[in-house]
Amino acid sequence: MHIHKYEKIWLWSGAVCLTIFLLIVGVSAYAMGNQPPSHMETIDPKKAALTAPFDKPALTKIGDNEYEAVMLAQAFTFTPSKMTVPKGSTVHFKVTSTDVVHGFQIPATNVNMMITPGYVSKISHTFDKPGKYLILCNEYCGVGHQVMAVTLEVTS
Amino acid sequence: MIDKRDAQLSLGFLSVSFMALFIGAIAGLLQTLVRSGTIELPLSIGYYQLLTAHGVLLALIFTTFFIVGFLYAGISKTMGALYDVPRRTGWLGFAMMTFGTILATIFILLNKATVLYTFYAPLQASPWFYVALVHVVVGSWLCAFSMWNQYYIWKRRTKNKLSPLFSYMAVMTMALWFIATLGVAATVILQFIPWSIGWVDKIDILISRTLFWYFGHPLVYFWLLPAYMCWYVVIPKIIGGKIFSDALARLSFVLFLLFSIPVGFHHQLLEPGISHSWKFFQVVLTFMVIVPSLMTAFSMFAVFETAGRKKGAKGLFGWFKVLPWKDVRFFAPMMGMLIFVPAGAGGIINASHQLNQVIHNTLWVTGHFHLTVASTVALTFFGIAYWLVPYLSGRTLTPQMNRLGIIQTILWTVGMAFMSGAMHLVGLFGAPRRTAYTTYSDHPQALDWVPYQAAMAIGGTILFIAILLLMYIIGYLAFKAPKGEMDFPVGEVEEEAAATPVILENWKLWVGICAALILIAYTIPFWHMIEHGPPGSPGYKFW
Amino acid sequence: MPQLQSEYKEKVKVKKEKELLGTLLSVMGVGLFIVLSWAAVYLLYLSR
Repeated sequence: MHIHKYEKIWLWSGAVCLTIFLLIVGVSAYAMGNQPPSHMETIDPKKAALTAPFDKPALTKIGDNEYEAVMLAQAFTFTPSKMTVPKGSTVHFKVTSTDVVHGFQIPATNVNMMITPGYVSKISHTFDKPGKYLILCNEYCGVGHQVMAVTLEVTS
Repeated sequence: MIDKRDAQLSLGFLSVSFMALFIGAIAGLLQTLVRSGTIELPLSIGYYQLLTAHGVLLALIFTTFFIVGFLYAGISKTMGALYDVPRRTGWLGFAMMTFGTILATIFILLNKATVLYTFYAPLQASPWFYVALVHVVVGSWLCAFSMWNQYYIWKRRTKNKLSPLFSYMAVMTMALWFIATLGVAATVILQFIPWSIGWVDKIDILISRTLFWYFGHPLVYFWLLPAYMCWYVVIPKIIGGKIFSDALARLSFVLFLLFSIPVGFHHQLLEPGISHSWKFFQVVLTFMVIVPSLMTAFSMFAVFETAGRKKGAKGLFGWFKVLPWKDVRFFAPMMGMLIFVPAGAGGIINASHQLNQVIHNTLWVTGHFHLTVASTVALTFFGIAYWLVPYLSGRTLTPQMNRLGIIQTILWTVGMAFMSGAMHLVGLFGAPRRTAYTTYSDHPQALDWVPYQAAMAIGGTILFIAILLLMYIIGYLAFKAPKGEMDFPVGEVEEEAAATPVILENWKLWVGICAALILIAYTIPFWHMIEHGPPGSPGYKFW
Repeated sequence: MPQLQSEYKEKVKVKKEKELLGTLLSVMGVGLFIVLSWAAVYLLYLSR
């Protein structure tokens, strides 16, 4: 098959660029631990609200500047609905759903993951700037989907 | 003119396609107005109901009917009149698909299926909605079988001659569609229907999502390939050029078949239950499917440059000016091609593993596929319809209609620039997609998004005006335009181009490799989902 | 005769290779756009 010289140049440059993209995200993921949320733990979705730790959804201090937020997503809210941490805190979110699929997103951060019933989703984030952060559901979950949001306050 | 009976078959598909486009567009307009806070819907219609109608009628019905109609016309043009069995099977497919479409539309309008076009479990629609979808898919399979049958008979009668490029691409497009829809058919027939009827009380959500996205990504290539067929085969003829390379065009379609299916995880990058290594593996495969699009980009520019130089264009870019900008048959698809540059760039970003966290389920994604399917593909389809509809109805594309078509294309491009541009930006700020108007109790961030949502409504309004214009032009071309003979533009290959290797028509080989790649990419993670899956979920009707 | 033909083919090829410089520059422009958009979102990812 004849391929024009310039087309070869073009395809090779394209291949090199795509490989570089893959290397950048690959190194960031595998060497620096920046993987997309892919937690494998399962839970019975009908009993999620009765199963520890989701029977007592809460924000708990687990170390210096380190918190764990155990949260339940259900149509159309998250529990707990108000949380406060000081600036510079790292929060480990641990979330599951009691009903349908929900989303979990904090706008203007990289916190973004799916909450699938039957699975536990985890993501961590360090809040360096004070403010009232929105935690919202970004997957259609029913007629009240647009009100499904809570706030996380980061104090200075 | 192709055989009259084939023209009727093709027109049948095209008419359902344009009706779906019109209803879907009305829903789209209302959505942008609601989301900007401009209007409130009467209580009897919900935002998410509109969204379901918009998605199903445009992403599934408009596209599939248009594609099948276009492929039938091109097959009849390049391989000759359809044989009896393929034509009859085609009408049977048409009947099933149309029945499914009507049934689905009724249940969406009755508010019995407000589950959006992705119908994620455990939201549970009426079983009739799923039965309707099965009819659309199985009907389209009959069309695939009919086209393959035509190809098979043609090959036998011509003693294995090299198939015409258009027909080869049509066979490949339907092969891609068939293999892809096996996934969605499996989840709908084996999971959703028994569960929604009540034969089983639980559904495995992750498996249903995985089967859906096994279908969901090749679906976008099923939209794109017929647009590429127009670019590769039709456009060279319209601009007075030649097909750059028959072999490379076929090779790009082979690569689409191989790499567009085993990549569905890049739509599930942020969900639990799939290990990051399998996600990353499918991300790598996703990047492979970019290569045939890079090949296509080169081919297109090469056709333009070669044709322009033949017309005497000078300088590095002189050929760009001598393109037939005033011919809507070229102009509309060309705008589609140009829009594919930002659309493709966005797609690469979306598939880049953890970069997905920046944009997943935000309005950026909605903006993205309004550039791909709703601009690149839709504008190319409009450009095809402007000559195909009069060609099939024995009429002509008049200069006035040509001019209106150009205005329509400009309106579409401008409207989409507003709407999709605003969606991309506000998506980067974090505004979620598929969400009715909300300020989240006047949260300052959400208030900042409102002006962008207003820009979306301005774009949506311009787009709707463009749709009204399109409907007028298509109606005129089908029923009012002066009778006459139109040309079905089919490009020829450059004289000095190398012969096409026979291996490109070795279907067993390509389908075999395709199946192997699917098995490699999916077997282990899928087995893991079955083995280690949690208890299933009952259905919910939260609307 | 065969030699003549192959010479002719060579000429055609050489001519064609020159003709597509505009194409190469155009696609490279496309490539540059893709790289810049990708890098922009990657930087946004890093900054968040």
